[in-house]
Amino acid sequence: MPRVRKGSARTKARKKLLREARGYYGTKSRHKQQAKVALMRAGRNAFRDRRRRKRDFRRLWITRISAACRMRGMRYSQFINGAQLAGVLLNRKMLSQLAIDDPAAFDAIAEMAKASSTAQPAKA
Amino acid sequence: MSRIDCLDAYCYGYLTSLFRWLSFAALLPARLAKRYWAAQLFHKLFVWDCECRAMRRETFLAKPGQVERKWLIADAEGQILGRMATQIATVLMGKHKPTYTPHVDCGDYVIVTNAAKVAMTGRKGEQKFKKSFSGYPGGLRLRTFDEIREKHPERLVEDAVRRMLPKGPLGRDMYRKLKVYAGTDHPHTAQQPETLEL
Repeated sequence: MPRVRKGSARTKARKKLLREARGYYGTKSRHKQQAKVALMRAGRNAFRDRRRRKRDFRRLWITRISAACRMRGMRYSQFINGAQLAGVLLNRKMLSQLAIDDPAAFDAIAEMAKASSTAQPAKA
Repeated sequence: MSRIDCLDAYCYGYLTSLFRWLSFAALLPARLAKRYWAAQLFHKLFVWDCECRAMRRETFLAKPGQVERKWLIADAEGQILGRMATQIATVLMGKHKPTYTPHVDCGDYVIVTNAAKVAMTGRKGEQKFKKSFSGYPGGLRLRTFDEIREKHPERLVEDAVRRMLPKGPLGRDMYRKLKVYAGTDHPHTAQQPETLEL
């Protein structure tokens, strides 16, 4: 076996690594080891947060729908209960956007939900 | 936003990024167009771009400069401290609005008057303590709520609300929108505050 020298391969590997880490803060974009660690973390966080994003947004929509319901004297749980029984097919994203862009439409849905909700009416 | 609109936007995204990729590829010097480099670019300009466009964000997010803030005034007389504080904290955080955005302070300003007359259930005035520890041996100081109220009439309300807000720079910004006064007077008449029902 011929002896293998690593010089150019090593440079190449480092350059590739640093190219990926471009724009990182401080030594993370300049030093091989720091860049390597930062990239691993970045990948891990990105993987995790792509999954988390779905939950985060759903939570946000629910918070917003809840606020919109409370403005109309209802609770979120009553609203969703009533909306489901009334056969409203809009999902939480659509509902939260309606509450912002078209309050009148949300009023109508809230009325429908209130009428068909089986939950106890909200305290004032 | 109808489904057709979404589809249109989706196709549009594909086409523009395809054009962008083609025009960009033509500009590339030959020696840069090595395989991994090209693949990476292709991914960034074409696949990634399309994914982003396909997953276009439709959820409204408030912008810090464009939040409209009202002034609200609450009378603390006879109100139960913690129950009042939760409501005030909700308003300061903006969670009472359908435009609530977690990373932006979208809450309203709250003025609390008569803070010295806030109520507590049971005998918490005499029995409940606030602790402070100086760091020296034997440096634990216990003060009852009544003592605190006597010395700093606003502090009970301020502390209760502040500890219900998020911790961090944003939480501190929210807290700065709270104005507590021991009596009925407040210097914010120019803001024309609306009443906050408690």
